[in-house]
This record gives sequence, structure tokens and C-alpha cells, in this order.
Amino acid sequence: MADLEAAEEFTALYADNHRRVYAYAVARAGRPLADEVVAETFLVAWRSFAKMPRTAALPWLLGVARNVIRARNRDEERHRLVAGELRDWAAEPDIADGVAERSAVLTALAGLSENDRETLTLIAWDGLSPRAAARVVNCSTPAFLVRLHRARNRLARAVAAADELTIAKEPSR
Amino acid sequence: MNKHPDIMKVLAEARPDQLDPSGTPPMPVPVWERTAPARRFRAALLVPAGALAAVAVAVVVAVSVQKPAGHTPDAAMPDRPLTASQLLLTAAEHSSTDAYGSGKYLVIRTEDGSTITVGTGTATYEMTSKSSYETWFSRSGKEPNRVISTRLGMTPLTPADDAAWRAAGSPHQVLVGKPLPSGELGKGYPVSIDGGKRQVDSYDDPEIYAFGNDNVTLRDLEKLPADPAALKARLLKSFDGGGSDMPTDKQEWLLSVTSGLLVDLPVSGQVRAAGLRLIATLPGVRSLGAVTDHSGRPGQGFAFTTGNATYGSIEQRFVIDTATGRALGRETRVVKPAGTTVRLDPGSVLAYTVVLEQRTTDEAPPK
Repeated sequence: MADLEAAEEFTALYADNHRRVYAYAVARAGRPLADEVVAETFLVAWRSFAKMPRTAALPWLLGVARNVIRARNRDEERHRLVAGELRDWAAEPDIADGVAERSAVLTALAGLSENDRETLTLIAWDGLSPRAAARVVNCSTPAFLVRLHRARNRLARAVAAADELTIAKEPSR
Repeated sequence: MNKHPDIMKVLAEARPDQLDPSGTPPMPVPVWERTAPARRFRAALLVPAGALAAVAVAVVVAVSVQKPAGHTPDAAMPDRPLTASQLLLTAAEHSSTDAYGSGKYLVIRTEDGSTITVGTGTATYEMTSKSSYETWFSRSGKEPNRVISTRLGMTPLTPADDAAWRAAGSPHQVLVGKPLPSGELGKGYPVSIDGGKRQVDSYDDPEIYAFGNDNVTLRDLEKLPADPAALKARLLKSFDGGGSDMPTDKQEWLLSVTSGLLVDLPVSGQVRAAGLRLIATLPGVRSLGAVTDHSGRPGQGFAFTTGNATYGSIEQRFVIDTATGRALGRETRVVKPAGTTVRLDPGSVLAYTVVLEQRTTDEAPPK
């Protein structure tokens, strides 16, 4: 009953992971494309399901999604789309605390390179361990940690720069 | 400057809600209608391999009693029936002279059918799902294996089911849920009742078959001994206690696996003869006498009953062409409903397979 088991296992995989693949797709390709990316990712995943490492399904799925995204859209176009969305979200009013900080960090993230953004959001938004994230981007864990360290520094600097700008604009603060 | 000692924490807290989908979209992959990536190819006892692929969920269902269209194997045929061991040994005799080709591919063509419970809204009724399969196994293992499948569609089983289907608006998409050991139906997945396009899939996996739950390669199959005792010893090495669709009793398990070999794959005539002789030595095998298979071809039938806690007890019937010793087909029926079959009446056909062709060839597989 391998067919049945595979179909069931795959359905469970979809139920467990589609939200996370969607989130990754939004952060990497923008919302307009996310549904398509998710659909294509799971189609590709189904075709090569037998090869999926059962203990590291999510990094494997995100790796598939990453290839799907790369194959579909030109890098610059994607970068423009995602950066635009991040800025929109940064500008959205939010009743939660720390609005300014949230807005600053999203704006700063929009200004980073695509690679930095991916490195940071795999950890902060997708909730992966550095080891799992390294699998997604297909590099060694030490190499990923170096990338992460640098991306963090660049994000921190960008946020600090944005804060200074904000303070300069609002002397009353 | 280091106002953010942990920028990653800040970033994590800034995760936009827009990253979360608004709901759960339907699974974009119709896994229940496609041939799954075959990690192994073994006809499940309760439903033929083909039907599994066609409606993967179908497995153990089947409901109200209905004679299969055409002919029903029936022990009460006018001719004096052969005893089980007579027919098995005659078939074995002819099997042992059945030449085994040397072609590069093993080709198997079957038509598979199964009865499944489907739903529309709150209504449930039974439908028969049919598929045809043509499988090409590369004997060298160097070429991919190929499966050409066609879903032949689903039709209401009985006039009552037909009425239920019509009352539901004659839908062409129905919900199919997997029957669970608890007797309930699992979550339904939408499945089209229409036939499908011919679909060609390729598989590289060398493990093409399984003795019970033990995956084996074509090489393993070709190494099977042609002596009944040695064959028994080899097959029992794969016995793992059964369960799921396999009987838990060791003798019943051996009967299932050995007779499955006759239908599922073209093993050599000598190995098939050993299988038939082995079956003749096992308890619980009955002769059905002269019968016809689902496509009306005449043969000799034998049957035995197997069971486990998952599906109650079922009867497995086989039709053999005694002139060649080859199997024409298999049918499974409910004997004692329990677990996944608890909703069914005794006598219900669970599934059938008609073996249309088994051969070896040097031809290239169809694209």
C-alpha cells in the first residue's frame, strides 16, 4: 500500500508545512506570486517525494520553493516586488507597541540585498535553525553563520541609520 | 549606536502578518488521483495496486453486495470440480514448461476495479472505480520502469447507489475518504468520477515489489527458487508479523504472498510451478471448480480466507488457466466485516484484478 501511504504522508506534509512554505514564498517573491509558488513547490515535491529526507522536510521544501522562485522570476523584479511590499507593511499603522521600531526594521530589511534578507528571515521569520537554513540555501552551516553574522550587522546598521533619521526629523523626541 | 542588542529578536517581532495565508488552500497536488511515486509495487490485498493509484484512498471499502458484472466465480458449476490440490498441481505441471522470455522488459497489463464509498454533502453511496495499467519493468535495472495508467472512471455500484448519486445531483466530483480501522471514513478528498487521460510515469526505484512489507528488487524476484520448500523458506524470511493489509497469521500470510506472486508479476514458469505446488501444501485452500474471471475467460478457481484485526476477514479468489498455469485474475470479498470493512455486508466484492497480459519483450516502452 505504498501508494496510499505516500498519498497520506504527503497530505500530512502539506497540512503541516504549507503555511511555512507560503510565508517563505511571500518573503521571497511577494504576495501576488506566493500561491503559485506554493502550488508549484508541492507539485515538484510530490514528484520527488520518494527522495525527500523524512527528518528534514521543511528545509527540503523551502529548498524546492527557492528553486521554483528562482526559475520563475528575474532577480531584480523579485527584489523590487518584495522590497515594495516590505515598505508598504512598514507604513501600515499597527496598534501594537513598538510601531516605530517595527517600521524601522522592515524598512531597513527592504533596503538590504536579497541574500541578506533571505539569510535573516530564514532564521527570524521562518524559524529555522542555522543548520536547517544552511540546507535551504545549500551551503555549509559555518558558511551560513558567517553570512548571518554579516547580514545582522548590516541590518542593525540600517536600523540605526533609520532611527537617527527619525530622531533628526522629530527633534521633540 | 547599538540601540538594538538583539536585532534578530526585533526582526522576529516585526514578522508581518501578511506572511500567513488567510486559510488552507486545497492541496494543489491531486495525490489521490495520481499514481504515487512508487516506492514499491505490490497489489494490496484489499484493493489492486492499480485501484490504489487511481483512487489511493479507496482501499478497503466496498459495500452493498453486488455480483460483479458478467460472471461470478461459483463453486456450484455443473462439472465435477477438481480438488484444490488437483487443480494446483495440474497448473503447476503446465507452468513448469511455460517458457520464460529473455526480453529486456517485463510487461504486465491489468484492469483493476474496486468498490469505494463516496460522499456528496451528507449522502454516501458506493461506486466502482476502474483503471487499466500497463507496467514495464526494466530487467537490467538500467532503464527506468514505466507505468502507463488510465483511469476508466467511477460508476454507481447498484441501482440504489445510482439513485443516491442522482439525488445528489449527479455530481462528477465526489468525496472519497479512506476507510479507517475504527470503521469510520477518513477525511474526504475530491475525486473526479470521469475517466482520465492516459498517463505515463517513470520510476527509477529498483525495489519494484514487496513480499508483504519487505521491498524487493527484480533481481530478488528472478533469484526465487523453483523448489516449493526452498521458495517457502525464502518467502518466510520476509515475514514480519503481518498487519495493515497483510494477514497476521503466518500460514495465511504465506498463502497471500505466494498467490500474489501468480497475479502480480511474470515470474518464470518454474517459479510459478513451485508457487502453485507450495499453495497445494498449505491448509485452508478450497477449490472453486470451473469458473470465469471478470472478463468472462474460463479457468479453474481456488480460494482461501485471510484476516486480521484491521480489516476483519476476507476471501481471496484466484482464477487460473490450467492449460498454462498462469493466473487470469484475483478477487477479494468480505467474509467477516470488521475494522475497515465493518460497514460492509458479507459477500461484498472489495476489489478485483484481471490480468490481461504478462510477457517479456525487447521492445521499447511506450512514451
